[in-house]
Amino acid sequence: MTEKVHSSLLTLPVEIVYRILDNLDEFTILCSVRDVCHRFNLITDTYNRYQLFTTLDLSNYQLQDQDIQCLVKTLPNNTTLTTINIGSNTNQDGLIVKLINALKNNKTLTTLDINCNSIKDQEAQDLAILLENNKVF
Amino acid sequence: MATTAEASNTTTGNTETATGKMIKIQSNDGQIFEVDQGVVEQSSTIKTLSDLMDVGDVPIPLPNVKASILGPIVDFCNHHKNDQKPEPIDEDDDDDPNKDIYEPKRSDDICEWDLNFIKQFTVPEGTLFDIIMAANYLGIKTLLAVGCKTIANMVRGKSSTEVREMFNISYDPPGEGINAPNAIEGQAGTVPTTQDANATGPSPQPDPMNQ
Repeated sequence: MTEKVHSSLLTLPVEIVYRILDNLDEFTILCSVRDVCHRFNLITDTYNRYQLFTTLDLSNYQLQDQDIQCLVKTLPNNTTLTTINIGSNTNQDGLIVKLINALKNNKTLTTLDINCNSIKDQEAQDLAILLENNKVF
Repeated sequence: MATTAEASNTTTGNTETATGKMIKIQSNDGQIFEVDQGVVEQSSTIKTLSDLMDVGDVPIPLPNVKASILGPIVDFCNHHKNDQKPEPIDEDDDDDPNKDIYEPKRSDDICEWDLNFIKQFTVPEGTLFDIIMAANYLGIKTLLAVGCKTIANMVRGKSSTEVREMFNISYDPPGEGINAPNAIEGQAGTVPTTQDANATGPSPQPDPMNQ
């Protein structure tokens, strides 16, 4: 009969998307939702919990490769985070390097807490270069 | 369909629990469901309408809900009409200044009956979103919460690429690349030609954020 377009996640009104976001933690919003599409990008940017989400505490959060990939993708465009704490993620090879690369153009982050991560020489060098070029840290 | 008969049967069997006053509601495709006060109480929209207009025997039209969705909703409300009243803080906490807004709501507390109920609605057919929209329209907070939690649970732990695939969303990087990761892996087939000046195709919705 009436053949109309199927409803989809994109046809939900903003207030319902907010309700869905209410059930998700900030890391999921950042990594799983925000980059899905332009509309979700705009919606998360106006979502109150995301706007107040300035500290990403990943200490003792066993970051998986996939999480790191998400972070690396999303950090260059992020304008809310001012602090990232990745303390105690010791077993992630290259985590620091990846983060440093992702943060090269980030202008809002002011604190990167790498407490308890054993930093290798190369990573320390990269970090030094990042700090040299970055005026906001 | 037998939904009308089913709905009436379930409700008439329980008339003693409520005031006994039956209300008729009508889906946008003309099907009429008879519901009792226990059901009406759960839907702020139906309750307001039935209070406002002393409807008598005239069915309340619900122009935003079709029968294939309204039928299951009546079942849902019939199942839940004898529930303990949910803790009143549940949904009205949006304005509560004391609420810790950093805390996500719990989404692992969907009861088994609701889990099975929501399984009949799917993403590919769009019915999962239809039921959420209908619950929102009808003001059935418990059902709306179940729907939103279900979607939240589907999204959790997925990458944005997986979310796109799961919900069949085209990737639509805006011109200036606000959300464009440098590499769009696996998107070659689906990346639309958004670079064309007038190609707004991949975003089926008018953008609500643009006021």
